[in-house]
Amino acid sequence: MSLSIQTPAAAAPATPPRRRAHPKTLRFLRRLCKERPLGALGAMICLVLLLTGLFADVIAPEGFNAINPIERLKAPSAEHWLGTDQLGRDVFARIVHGAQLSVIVAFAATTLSIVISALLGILSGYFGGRLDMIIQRLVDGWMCFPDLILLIVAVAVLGPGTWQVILILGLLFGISGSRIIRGAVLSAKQNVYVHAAQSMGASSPRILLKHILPNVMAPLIVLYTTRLAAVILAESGLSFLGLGIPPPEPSWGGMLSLDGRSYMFQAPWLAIAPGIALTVAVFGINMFGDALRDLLDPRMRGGGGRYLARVKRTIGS
Amino acid sequence: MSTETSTATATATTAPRTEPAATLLRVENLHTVFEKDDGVVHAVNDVSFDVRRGEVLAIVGESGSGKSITAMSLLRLIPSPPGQIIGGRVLFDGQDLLDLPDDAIRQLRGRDISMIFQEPMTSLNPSLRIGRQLAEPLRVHGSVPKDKVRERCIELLRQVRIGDPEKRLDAYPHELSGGMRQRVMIAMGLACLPRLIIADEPTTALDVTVQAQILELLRDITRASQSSMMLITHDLGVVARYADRINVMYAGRIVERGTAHDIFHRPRHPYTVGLMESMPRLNDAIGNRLTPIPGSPPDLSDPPSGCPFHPRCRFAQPRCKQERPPLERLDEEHWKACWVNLDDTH
Amino acid sequence: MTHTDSHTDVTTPLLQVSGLKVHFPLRPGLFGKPAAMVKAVDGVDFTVHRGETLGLVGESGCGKSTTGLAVLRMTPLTEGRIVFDGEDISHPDAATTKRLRRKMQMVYQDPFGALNPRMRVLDIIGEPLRVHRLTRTRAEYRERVMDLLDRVGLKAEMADRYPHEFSGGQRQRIGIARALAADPSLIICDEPVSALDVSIQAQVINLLEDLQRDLGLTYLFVAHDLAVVRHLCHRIVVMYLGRVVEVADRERLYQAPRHPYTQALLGAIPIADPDPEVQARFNPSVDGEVPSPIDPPPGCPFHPRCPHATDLCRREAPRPLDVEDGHSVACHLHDPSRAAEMNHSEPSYQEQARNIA
Ligand SMILES: Nc1ncnc2c1ncn2[C@@H]1O[C@H](COP(=O)(O)OP(=O)(O)OP(=O)(O)O)[C@@H](O)[C@H]1O
Ligand SMILES: Nc1ncnc2c1ncn2[C@@H]1O[C@H](COP(=O)(O)OP(=O)(O)O)[C@@H](O)[C@H]1O
Ligand code: SF4
Ligand code: SF4
Ligand SMILES: [Mg+2]
Ligand SMILES: [Mg+2]
Repeated sequence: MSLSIQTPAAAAPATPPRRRAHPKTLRFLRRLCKERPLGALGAMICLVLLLTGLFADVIAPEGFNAINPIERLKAPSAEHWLGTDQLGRDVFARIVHGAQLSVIVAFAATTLSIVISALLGILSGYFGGRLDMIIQRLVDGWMCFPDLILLIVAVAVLGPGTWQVILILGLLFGISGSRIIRGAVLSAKQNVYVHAAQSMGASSPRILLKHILPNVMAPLIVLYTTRLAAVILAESGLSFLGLGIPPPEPSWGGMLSLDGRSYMFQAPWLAIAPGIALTVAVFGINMFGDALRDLLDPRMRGGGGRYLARVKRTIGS
Repeated sequence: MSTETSTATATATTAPRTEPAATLLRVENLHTVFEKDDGVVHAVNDVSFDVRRGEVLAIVGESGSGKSITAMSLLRLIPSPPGQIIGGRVLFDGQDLLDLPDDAIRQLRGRDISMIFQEPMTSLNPSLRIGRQLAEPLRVHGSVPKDKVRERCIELLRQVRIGDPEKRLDAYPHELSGGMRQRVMIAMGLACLPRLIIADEPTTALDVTVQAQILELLRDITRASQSSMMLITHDLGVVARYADRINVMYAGRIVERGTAHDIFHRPRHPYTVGLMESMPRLNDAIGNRLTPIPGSPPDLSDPPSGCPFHPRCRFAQPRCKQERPPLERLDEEHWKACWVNLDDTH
Repeated sequence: MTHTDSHTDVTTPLLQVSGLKVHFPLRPGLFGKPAAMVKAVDGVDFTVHRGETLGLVGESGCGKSTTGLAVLRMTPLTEGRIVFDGEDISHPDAATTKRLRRKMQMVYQDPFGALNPRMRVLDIIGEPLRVHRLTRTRAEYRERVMDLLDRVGLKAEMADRYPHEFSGGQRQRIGIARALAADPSLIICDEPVSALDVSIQAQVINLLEDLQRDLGLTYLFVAHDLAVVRHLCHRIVVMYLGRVVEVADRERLYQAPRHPYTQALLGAIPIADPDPEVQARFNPSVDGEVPSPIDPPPGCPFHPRCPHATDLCRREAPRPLDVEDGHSVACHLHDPSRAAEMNHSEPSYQEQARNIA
């Protein structure tokens, strides 16, 4: 979990075995539990989400698409933990398989968006000058169009489907997020130690990797977690409009907005179950993200009392 | 502030003593702490001193030694939480300021005691014209009739030697240079003819030529109005020139007090001696090697046992580690907190 | 750690700066020319000899740091010539730049900002070694960093800690160790002690002196504290509003300053001695503040504050002239050929000089 990546340049040919990696992860986990209990909870939720996605078929083997008209709109019971929907499908199975879909879409789209944000933001922020101007005008142009219009146009062109949703959400969030990363890069560039690295002749990749990226890491993590949550929500919005994942695939968003809305009063569990699943997932991701950001900053580690006091004092007074 | 009630009950029983005519402000056993995650910081610890009428009293010490917190405690300006005044008395005219109701102390700030802060850039509101800000204390304390406010503001700016004061009243802070902003701060501090001016590093952010102008001005004005000044600084040169008496602070405590002559020519506390030896001066021999104090100031959330200076002290004795020396009188004006008796030879 | 690979013999100066100008565009315009220029450095000449410490002093904004950055070739020159170790580096190619990045190093003012908080001390100090590939094995690298730690008075076990665990003085030592790592011949110190407390400041001053003595280092020392400069620098360049007003060795500069600005500067420093006799030397003779470098006054830049200013000063900028060997002053008062135009009865600078000395 270390951010200081060892450059191979000066490493000895016979690199000592990396025995340290394991204890480091353990130490990190211990700190997570001790210093950020909420973050640990978040991590657990993320883990559950991930595992549910991975082992959806094991957890709910009956299948999410088994239509059973006799069992329509049944309230939660021992047999159907979360009840059934208007086609008699088991809501629990659909939630579990929805997790799989959500996990795939959310992580893929968010990762894509973060890569785009980081690339554009760092190029624009670090190298500046004409490149910055061109990129920023393009971003401006892109952001002039309302998101919804872009989405509708994109789906109209590409057709609905899982990878289309990933692509379009990734692009959409990626471009708007590049502003935040650019800002973080610009402020990281102001650090005297960046000047010091430049003045001793360090190459741009080295400076970006060792001095800029760690500073951009915190906003990247925050961006990632908020975007992850936003993507899940956006995907449900798209599905609601019929532009997202086409039925009968069980996406949480689709469940919440289509079935959930239509049968809100007859069968409230149809809305409540995906609603809670979404909320818990978003909460968990955000908590874990916050904790990650704080723990990765060595200044937050013990022993730094005086430095922190000074920093706080200069900021505070 | 949560301290007000506790100090009130603690001191209510003590009848106010009548002060000798010369004393304007008496601080007794002031103790201010900050609660932090990793412990309690004793920023000001058992500090006592007095300010006499018409004098310039200096507090010197390194950054973090508690100078600003001392000053802010006097006017109850400590941010709370995390700060708290947990003990002591601050007697101004026989009245305990730590005991006053909130609106009474607010009335007193700026009228009887005014404070000039370290940072001229941030102490002025950037979105208000100079005239508005200068008039603020006059308006709050109603010390000048409404139609005379502008006139008084112009007079104040003239007093701090800002040229073209009529025009400057309509300027915004960013249109003024650092030195001029600090002059405006001084003008604000002087607006209500306070009896005590607390100047906390009033020139630290300024160039030497401007520093000289500002400090001469401050001293001339306090002299002319016969008010007193508490001058807080880390610059020993400034102290030597402007202070009548000096308190040397280290790790939240006063370790030596004396006249300027005592402190500079007959220092009796090893820390003061160390400061004198580690300072390059304009009038020492070229090529002299400096004698630094080893180590660095302690972390106030975990101060050393006994004498707080002992880890850095070259005169330290076994006793210093266990027992903290009290501030004791050497002669009429000279006090020190040290177990060892130094003489001029060190 | 002595520099053996110099291009020329040791008698030539290490650094020669002539006619240096650095102008910054004010709010760079999107299209076309910017509205105005900040004349941060506006015609500066000086020489740094091997093994000496040259002080660059003046008030805030007079262009000291910019001069340092220009020498380091970290800011583009507007005009002028910089010769380092016998080689013209005014417009260096990539290979020369790479070499310069090794031979010149910088120590910064802010002990809290100059070190990357996410790197261990080992990697901070060793960064120049990595960048210039100066060590081959990891063991050699570590050993070299340990040497450097020892040199600056830090303990070996501190190598694996992070900067926030150190005090300001210790951090400054780390910054100095980093500057030493690549075996430079010139170290540019930009106010390296002004952020430190007196007692710590003395530790760092002594360290800088020791390193110079032991390693034969040359320093370009930027500072505004004239007492520190007097202690540390062999020769001193006084700057005002982007120009050099006086250059002299320290004895002469502090005993007999010639330029009215130098006199004013020295007269304005409070002396740490309350004796009335000593305090009598205190003589803050100038009013006002430094004008803006965007629109500097015509003629002599100091004339709006100078007690001796004449029409000539308002009209024409003085050139630096040698008044004695190694002591040059840019003031019409000291130009014999201008004596007639400077129709002052008797230049009072001599009195002032005596007052200060
Ligand atoms: N990159 C820049 N762009 C525009 N103006 C600049 C830039 N760098 C410096 N300046 C201006 O150039 C002038 C000289 O700056 P410089 O930093 O060299 O001053 P200095 O003598 O080091 O002052 P200080 O004592 O405050 O450090 C200042 O007016 C400053 O505002
Ligand atoms: N808001 C605050 N929170 C916590 N600690 C503080 C705060 N303000 C000051 N301190 C601590 O109080 C001590 C004294 O500070 P201060 O009086 O500002 O020092 P100085 O002598 O430099 O003026 C320092 O150790 C500082 O860390
Ligand atoms: S009491 Fe002891 S340790 Fe403290 S200053 Fe005096 S001699 Fe030094
Ligand atoms: S040239 Fe004129 S204005 Fe400038 S310093 Fe000399 S006397 Fe003063
Ligand atoms: Mg302070
Ligand atoms: Mg500078």
